[in-house]
Amino acid sequence: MLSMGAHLKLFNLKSVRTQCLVWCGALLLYCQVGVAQAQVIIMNGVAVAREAVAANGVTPHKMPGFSISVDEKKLNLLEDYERYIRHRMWEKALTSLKELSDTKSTSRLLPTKDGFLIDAEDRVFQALTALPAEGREAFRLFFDGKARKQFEDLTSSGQLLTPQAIQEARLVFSQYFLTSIGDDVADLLGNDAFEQGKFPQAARYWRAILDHHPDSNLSEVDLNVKYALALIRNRQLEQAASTIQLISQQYADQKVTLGGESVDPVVYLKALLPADSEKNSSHTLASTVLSNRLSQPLELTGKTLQPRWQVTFLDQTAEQAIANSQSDYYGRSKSYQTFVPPMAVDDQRAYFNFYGICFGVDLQSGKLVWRNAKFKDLGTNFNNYSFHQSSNLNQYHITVDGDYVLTTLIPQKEMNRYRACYRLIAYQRDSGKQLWQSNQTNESFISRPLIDGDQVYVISHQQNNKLLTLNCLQLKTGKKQWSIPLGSVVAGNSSNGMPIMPIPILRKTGDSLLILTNNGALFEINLSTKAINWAFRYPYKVDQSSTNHYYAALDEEVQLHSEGQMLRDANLVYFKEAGMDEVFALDLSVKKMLWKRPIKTSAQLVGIDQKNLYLLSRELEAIDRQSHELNWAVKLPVAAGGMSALLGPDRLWVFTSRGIFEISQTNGDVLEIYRGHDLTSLGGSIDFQRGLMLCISNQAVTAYPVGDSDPPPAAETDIETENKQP
Amino acid sequence: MSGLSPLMQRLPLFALAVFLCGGNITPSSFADEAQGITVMGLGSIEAKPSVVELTGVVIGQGQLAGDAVTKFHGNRRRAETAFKNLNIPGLEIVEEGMSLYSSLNASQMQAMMRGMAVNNAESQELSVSETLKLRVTGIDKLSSQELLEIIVRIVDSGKDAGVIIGNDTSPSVPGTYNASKARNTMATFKVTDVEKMKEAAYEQAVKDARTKAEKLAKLTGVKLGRVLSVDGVGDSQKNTAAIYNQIISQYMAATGVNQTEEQASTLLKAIPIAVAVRVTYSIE
Repeated sequence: MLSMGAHLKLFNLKSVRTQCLVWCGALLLYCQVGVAQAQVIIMNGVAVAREAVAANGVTPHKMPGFSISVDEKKLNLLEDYERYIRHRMWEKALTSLKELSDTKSTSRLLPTKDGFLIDAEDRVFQALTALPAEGREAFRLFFDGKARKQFEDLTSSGQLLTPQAIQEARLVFSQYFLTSIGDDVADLLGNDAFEQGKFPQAARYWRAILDHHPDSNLSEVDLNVKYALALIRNRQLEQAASTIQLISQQYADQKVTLGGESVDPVVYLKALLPADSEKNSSHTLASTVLSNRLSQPLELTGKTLQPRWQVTFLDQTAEQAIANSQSDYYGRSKSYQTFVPPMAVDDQRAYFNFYGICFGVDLQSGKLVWRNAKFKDLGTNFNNYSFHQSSNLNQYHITVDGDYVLTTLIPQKEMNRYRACYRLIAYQRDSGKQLWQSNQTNESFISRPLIDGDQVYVISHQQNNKLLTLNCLQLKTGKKQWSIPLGSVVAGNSSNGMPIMPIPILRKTGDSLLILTNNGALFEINLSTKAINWAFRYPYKVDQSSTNHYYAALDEEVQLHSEGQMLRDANLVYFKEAGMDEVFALDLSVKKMLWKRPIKTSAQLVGIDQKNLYLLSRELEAIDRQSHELNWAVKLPVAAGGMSALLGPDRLWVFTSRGIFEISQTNGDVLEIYRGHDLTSLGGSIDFQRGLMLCISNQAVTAYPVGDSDPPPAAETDIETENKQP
Repeated sequence: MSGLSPLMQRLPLFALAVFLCGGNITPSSFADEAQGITVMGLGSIEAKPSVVELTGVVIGQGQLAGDAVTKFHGNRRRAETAFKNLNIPGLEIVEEGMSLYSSLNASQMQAMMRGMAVNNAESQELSVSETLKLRVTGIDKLSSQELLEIIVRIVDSGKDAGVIIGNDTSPSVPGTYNASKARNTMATFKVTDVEKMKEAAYEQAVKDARTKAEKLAKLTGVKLGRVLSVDGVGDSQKNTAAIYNQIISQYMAATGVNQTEEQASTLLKAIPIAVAVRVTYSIE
């Protein structure tokens, strides 16, 4: 038995031991935590470093936003090839290249380093021509004999006679261009393409020789002349002019033989250029692409514009239903009050699509020619929660061409359906009689249909699928002729829990169709080959969190229904996507991004002239096309959707909540304000047709005569009482 | 019993408190009475406003600082031109100073309100703004209708030129409702030369005090003597704002800022300039 003192000593000993254990444990734990923290820091450091690399050098198909599939196997081989080149391992590099050429593609596109996804064959060609001199020597050593043999077999008669021979020559060109016969095969292919009217391809073959075959035996002046000819035929006039200038400087006094005659190439080529081409070419093209450009200034007289007619389409019941949808929060996030219906106009009438109620108005008299349903029925349909869940206001479209008016809308009988689809419907232009309707049960049409001759191009998706498909339909019947899958969108969520699909924009020039996805990708489609020529990718951030509370303030871009827009001037394309805070300028002839700059998310491209790009939100901004600096900006009382502007030679007009503003293109000064005849509206879109300035607001369309056209007496139309259903 | 006992325990404490309070009050009352009759005299002069003042904010915002500055300069120039083109006699534009700031966007605000980390990496817009005071003088010579027309012209012109007229109604936190900002006061009407009017009001106040004191003397059967002390209480605004005004006035006086010579009202009507004096008369 221990004494009391011994007990105390034992306790102290135990205490010391316990304390030691505790301190050791704490120290150990501290060290571990320290190590762990260090690890975290290191890991964070790595993560940061990796992110930085990713941000700088991320490949286009991995950028956030629109998803485009690429051939990963081929991409890996290409990366291997480029790595071997960097390490000067020629044998391995050329083996990879051979394998790359022989591998069958699962996807047509491969990424480049500047944001483009281009044809896999072109991309491999790019990689091939990027070989340094030492690599080229190795390439010839490896493949010259084989290439020469194949070429001799193909061209026994000196020209390519059969399609099979042409196909094989293309293979020789893509695989063995750097060998001694590469320039010859390119020249033959160029001649063949030119004869067939494929001028871009012809220019490409001849340019390849000039750029990548410096030791070619072919006459340089001949090649330059051929190249310039192809450019002129392809309307690439600026590039053609610079090539002619190069010929005049470098090959002065040299003659070429064209059509059996010896001619001065400079004189000959200049004669082919249209008169004053440098000034006119871009302007003419811009005018054709931009319908809002006016060649003559509008002559508006007096501050108080007198309308020729006005049609009010916002029925009282619809107005009340819209107000109800705000108070019960079903439709609060949609900003119905500021919705301005889309309009299409031809030489006789203007056509509108107001939440699926389509109607045509005679331009001269303002009489309602037809409508597909009664406006007061809208009120009933607006009370359906399902409608608010399915509706996407930017998905209502209307377009007119020939005898057809095409619309995308949710038919009234489907408004109460869960996840209702937007149908494509064709109406007879004069009578409003429905001609056909897309009948696939789950297919929803999202883009404005583009009518071209007997074809309609339109983009759709299956309602529960985010894959976008470009469709070519027969205009007369609506039957699908062909379709191309483009890729999948990354969609945000609405406060109703539904995905917000982006609205692609379609623009056709010649044989190519540009598609702006409004989701981080721009496509060029070759309509003759029905294939994607290239795609340009850029990061598009989508907020996919479901934190859109019904009580949250609406963003400016929602209130103004800002849309993405793409404007083209010859080979230059300017675009700004919906929901994005950057505007881009691309040069399509060299597939290069010229510049990009930050801009308000709510801004929408509304026009272009020789000097500026114009973007409208609650201010109108003029961005210099060359320097991409802001030349001027002016605040405007813009309060509704349908953002647009009419561009005259020196001024432009915008329809706002406080009237029509006439603005100087020089400095943005407001030169005049015409209050107009739609004083209670929030403003909206503006157009000009047949001597009439058409102002479409959230409640009415008003036509003001411009200039000295003799107006009939002003007419006001109440849309419900005036006309009947067809 | 059990309920009463705590009360009984607290009773001495309560008595002490009452005693102390009483002790504080009683001596001062007694001292006042010993000196004579103290009365409060009120004087008020009503004057028609001679100035109307509107506040306008010119702003330029942009992701790029250069854009914000370009926008600001353009908007500022247009605003000034628009107001000058109105050719309103007596209209002057007073610059109230320029400011540069960068605001959090809505999502950053929401994150902050929820106590979450604010992502500052997100680009923030730069704002350059300037407040302009638009003063029209000599409005006391105008009829209400004429004045209203002038105000409407200024407001219209400002709105057309992109100037934010009136007080700032945008919520400090996006998406929230602030009742105090729900009403946008467009114009403030002002009386100038307040000091002169106050002098007249003091005269009235002293007369009023004399009258009141004489009445009290008559009622109590004593004879009113000479003035022992006068205390100019100042503006007799009967709301708490007057207290804050006094504090602000004291602060401005201390810091050397010129005290305003104007009295403002949001209503277009005669503005009262009221003062109060406390006068103590001796009893003979």
